Amino acid sequence: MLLKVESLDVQYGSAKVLHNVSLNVKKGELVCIVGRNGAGKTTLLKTIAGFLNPTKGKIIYQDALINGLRPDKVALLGIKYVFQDKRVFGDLTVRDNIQLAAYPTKADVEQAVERLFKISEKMRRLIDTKAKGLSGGERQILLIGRSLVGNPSLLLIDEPTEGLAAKVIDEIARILMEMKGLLSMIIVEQNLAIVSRMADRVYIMKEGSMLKEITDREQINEQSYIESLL
Amino acid sequence: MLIKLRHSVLFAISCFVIGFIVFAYSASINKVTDFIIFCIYVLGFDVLYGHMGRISFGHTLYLGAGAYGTAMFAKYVIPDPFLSIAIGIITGAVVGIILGPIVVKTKGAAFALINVAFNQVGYFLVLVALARFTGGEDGVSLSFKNYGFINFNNMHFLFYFSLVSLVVVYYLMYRLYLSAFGAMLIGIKENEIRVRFLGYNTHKYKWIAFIISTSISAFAGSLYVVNYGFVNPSFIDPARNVEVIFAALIGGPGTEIGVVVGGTAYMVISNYLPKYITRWEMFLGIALLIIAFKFRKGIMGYIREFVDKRIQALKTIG
Repeated sequence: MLLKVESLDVQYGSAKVLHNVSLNVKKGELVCIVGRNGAGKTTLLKTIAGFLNPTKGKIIYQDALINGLRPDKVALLGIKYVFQDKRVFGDLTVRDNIQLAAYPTKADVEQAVERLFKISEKMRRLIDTKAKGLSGGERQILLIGRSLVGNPSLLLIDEPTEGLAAKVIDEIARILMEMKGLLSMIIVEQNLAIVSRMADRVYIMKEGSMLKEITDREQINEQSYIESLL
Repeated sequence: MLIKLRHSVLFAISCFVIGFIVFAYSASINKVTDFIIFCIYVLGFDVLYGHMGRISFGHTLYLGAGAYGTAMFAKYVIPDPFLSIAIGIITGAVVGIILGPIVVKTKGAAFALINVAFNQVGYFLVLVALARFTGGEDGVSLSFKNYGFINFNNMHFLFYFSLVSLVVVYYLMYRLYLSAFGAMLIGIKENEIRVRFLGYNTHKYKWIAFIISTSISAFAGSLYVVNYGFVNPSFIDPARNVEVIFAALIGGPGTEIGVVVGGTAYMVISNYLPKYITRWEMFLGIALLIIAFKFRKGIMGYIREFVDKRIQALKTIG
């Protein structure tokens, strides 16, 4: 098991936002978390990434307890977080964005840049463009490419297709599918068609709790079934 | 050709070196030496403001730390100019090392004000608490040793020494901002939390940037002391903090050449405008209001934008 989250409680001040949440991810697995707004999906990812401290429970990554570790330490362990809002470092070029990610992991910048081109060939002509000039889809590709720098074992991706055009969603889905098996991913996603297409397993979250784990392929493919649980 | 010049550090350095030499020999070499040292000070300030997005309202403290470090060493230990300058830089670095962990924890108004608070403490120390050593309000006069042609009492030597110092600091800053460290500073300016998620201990790097900034500012303070041959509390006076902020704003924060242009422009205004207008500060204030509201990118920001548009237009035609 790559990641094991056990009975996690998280609070914002006095408000409890996660109650007794458990989840696990195997090596190479793509797990989707589905739920309505406010279900606690992003909070769960942020807690795993070290941005929030759980008040109860355990986060075990590669057999080591990582509760309370700072985000930079968690990132260096090989867990990378791709935020929902698609904000890149706009005043830096695409190459500088990659370089920035390469430095702490001591990854080779040119190899990282080549990997970005492998994900999406169109990034080649944008490599020296300031990132603030990129479209939403290009930003998401850059963010995914940047998160791969340093060969992480686990990606936490928050709503990768939100706000994107249908054609771009297809491209993002293709990229994620190509990455499948090479590393583990936890993807928070509201687009159930994408979830059905990509997920090995699905977790349903509701009001801060883990409602159900779906492992059956047929149930995963049945969007109306997942919808009925939300 | 235009693209090459736009990105050429050699071109930028050549422009200001020739400009300062022509200006020095056509106006006043003493004043231009002052302008050059001030530009080094603004380069130090801009590490935090232009690149890391933290505005300090107490940067005179670090200029003063260098000035007093140099002066005290020259007066009480040995009046060697090089050793004294080195001690001045070390003093600035030590102040950065001590204050950094507290200062870089803050941002925005808190960052600006915590610097003023420390500046006030430093001002009080040299003016009152340590007046026995610093000479209090009167300050201390100094005379530095000469070694052959290395004569810090010679205005020509001082001018070229300051100019070479500016070129060195400018080039080092240029290299720093091109590196991953420079990209990380911009990242912190844009979104510090995201930088942490990439694996950076941002507190440590902000501290390093702070020490670089205080050391460069202290270097400028040391050069002032060597240039003037005295030190007094005006070198560390919190009321003078606006000078460096105005200079960075005029030239364009976050661009090395903008900082040099802004530093020079501010010094020209403050040195020559009073000859024609008694209350020149009022006009400077109005000019700065216009900059703050309408021209936030500063002189170089707009020149760069214009050049970039030309390059884009040429590319389109090509």
